[in-house]
Amino acid sequence: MNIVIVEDEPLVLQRIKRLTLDILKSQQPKIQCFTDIDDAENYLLENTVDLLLLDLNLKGRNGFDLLKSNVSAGYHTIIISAYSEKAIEAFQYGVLDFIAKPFTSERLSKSFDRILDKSQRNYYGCRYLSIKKLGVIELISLSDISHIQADGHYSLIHLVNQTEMTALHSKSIEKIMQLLPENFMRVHRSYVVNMNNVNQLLIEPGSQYTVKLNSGVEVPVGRTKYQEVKLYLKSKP
Amino acid sequence: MFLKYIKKLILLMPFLFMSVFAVGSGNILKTDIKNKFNEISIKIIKQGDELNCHLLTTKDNHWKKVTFDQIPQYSHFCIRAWVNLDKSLMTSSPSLLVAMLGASSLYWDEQLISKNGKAGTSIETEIPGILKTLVKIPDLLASDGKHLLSGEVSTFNLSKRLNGIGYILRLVDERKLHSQILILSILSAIFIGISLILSIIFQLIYCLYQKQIYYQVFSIFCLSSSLILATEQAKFWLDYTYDWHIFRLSLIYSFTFLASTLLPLFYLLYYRFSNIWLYTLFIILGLLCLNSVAINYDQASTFLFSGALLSTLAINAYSSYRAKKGQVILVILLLSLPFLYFIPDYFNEFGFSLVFIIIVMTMLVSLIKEMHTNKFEALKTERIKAELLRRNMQPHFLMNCLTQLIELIEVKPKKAVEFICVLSDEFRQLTTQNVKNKIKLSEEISLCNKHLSIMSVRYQRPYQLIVEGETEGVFIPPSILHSQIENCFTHNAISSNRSFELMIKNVNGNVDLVLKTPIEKKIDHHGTGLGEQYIKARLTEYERINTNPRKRNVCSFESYEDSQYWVSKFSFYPRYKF
Repeated sequence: MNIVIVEDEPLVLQRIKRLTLDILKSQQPKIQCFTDIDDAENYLLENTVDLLLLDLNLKGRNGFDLLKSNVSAGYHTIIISAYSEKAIEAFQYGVLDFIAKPFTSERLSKSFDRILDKSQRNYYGCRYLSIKKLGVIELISLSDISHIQADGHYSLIHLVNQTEMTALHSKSIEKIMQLLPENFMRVHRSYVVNMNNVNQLLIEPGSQYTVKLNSGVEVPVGRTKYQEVKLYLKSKP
Repeated sequence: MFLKYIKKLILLMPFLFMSVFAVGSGNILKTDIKNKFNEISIKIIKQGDELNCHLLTTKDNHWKKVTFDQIPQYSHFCIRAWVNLDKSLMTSSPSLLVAMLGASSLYWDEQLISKNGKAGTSIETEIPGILKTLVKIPDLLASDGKHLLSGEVSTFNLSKRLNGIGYILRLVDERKLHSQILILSILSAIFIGISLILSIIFQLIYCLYQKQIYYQVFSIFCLSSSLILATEQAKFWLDYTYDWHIFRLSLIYSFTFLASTLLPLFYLLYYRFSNIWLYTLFIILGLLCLNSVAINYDQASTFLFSGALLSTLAINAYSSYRAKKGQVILVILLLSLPFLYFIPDYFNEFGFSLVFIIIVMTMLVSLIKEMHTNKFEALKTERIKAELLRRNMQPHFLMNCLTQLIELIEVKPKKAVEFICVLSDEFRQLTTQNVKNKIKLSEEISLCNKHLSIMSVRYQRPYQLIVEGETEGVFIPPSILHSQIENCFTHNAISSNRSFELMIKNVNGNVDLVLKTPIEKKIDHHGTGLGEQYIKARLTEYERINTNPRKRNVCSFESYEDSQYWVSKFSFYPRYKF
């Protein structure tokens, strides 16, 4: 497991590193430390990273720009900051967790559980998916997303209005699923659907299930997911 | 914009109303031109002379002819005057109104109608009469046509030579006269009441709310103006014998002198002139000069008051030129000056009180505005102080320090104790010195060092403040350098060992401070934050608090980026002149 820590106060950096090593002992984590996010950038680009623990001064606008850039990457980001009043906003952009300073070992460990158990979803769903397109960060509002399709290690995001346009997100569909709110459902191994955008549930011959979306696109539904989808659509007509 | 002027006009309406009222009622005293004694024949009574003063047949062609205001002082004499009575102009039976400084017995067509005191040949034998008397002419004698008024008068009981001692000798309509006097009395009572109440209110404000010296001056000004008006109007409601007249005039005169000194003094204080006492001395000398050229009490009062108005005008003109303050008062003063010079006669009766009231009102408006800004400024500084404290005590700084502490407690408990000590030291000093207006520079430096030592632990770097120059005898508002150093950490990620520098220059009390803090990775833009707001509020407060009226601290603050440093320049210059 490859973990990057960014923290400008040496003693706090030491603390995060010490506690992480301690909690994730069994995973044999490889930890890389930086005092500055700019210094970490090259490393993040050139290496496969699983998790970024980031101390971010979220006071100014450029704190959030950095945040958006990081959440568009393939790894999960956990913010560790004293600016706890900014937590909800950070969640909206798609951080996996927000740890307020000062923090204990228990709090950190709870956060790491989400990394290990991919089925756990965030308490606060994100509002946007941040996407890097030709080096520029774009925010896609969740209500504009029709469904998401797995594409190897990446995810293909289909939009509501532009059926022929898609966007590529660096995170795997499992990781994105962890950030999304309840109305997004994993209907298939390779598909996540925005349930607000579903028109109807169809049963094709040969007990093939599909959901028809408002755009007319049909998305396959996994055999095991059928009951769940049916129940969800019933509860929310 | 237009609406604003209309609002101002509406505010002025009561004044306009009052002035129209005053002009109207002032005029009725003067309208009765008929039934007047145009020419008075006079002859000094010498011992042994048989004048037959009151006989209709006495020949007075060769007697001296005078007007009533020319009757002589320190004399015993006889006056004779003919009047053509025209009753069609009157609503009730005619009465004789006499106001003069003397004792008299008056006869109407050889009949004694009034005895006021007892005319005598010297100060010992004379019994002084009352200043003004109103006598009804007996109906039998009051027929249309020619009548003779004659009188024996003596004027010995005056301590001072006056310019004219005969004021009024006229046939009046009694009913009309009473209503006129009533209106005058009501008006002056209103004026006196307003001034008196304002005086009390501002005395209370001075004692209980804010010890601003110009509140006190304003209060005394109001008191003296109400006293002027009260003594001025005393002739209407107080019947006193004429030997007290000079006393009353000198009372009016002294109150006028007091008010005339206080009026410009108020504006000197209000606009925070330096050298106030020197200016006041000038004004008093000027008033004394004006006083010496005046020929009588009335003129002296007018001169004094116009002297005060002119110096106030000059002060306001200077202030509106220099500080863009006082234009409104300037306009009002310019408008009230014609009262003095074009209707001086009228001024003594009424213009005087009116101008007084208008001036008092403008002063009141400025004072209320001043109170408002004072309160606003005070609230603002309080708020910023509170916010600064909160910034230190609350979320980020405190949370970051606590994060540090958790680690130290788990790993190096001894260091944790040390850290807590420095942290509490800084908080303690900050809370104690933030309630003060000024502190020693050396104290401020020690606070900065405490903050730097906390930051040194947090970033594990030896941050230092290098001080150049003498700190002794230098005072500054609290926590202004500290705020800049703090800012440096919130807006910067300082990863090198560059030090902070403070240069002190003190030339004869003119203090310049230059603080240089390193710039490395700017996190946010400098200069819009709370820190600079705090500093500006502190400096404004510092300029205000100076208790020595001759001295004024002129503070300035600027900060800018210069070759990898953030430079903050403070200067504190005591000024002696406006």
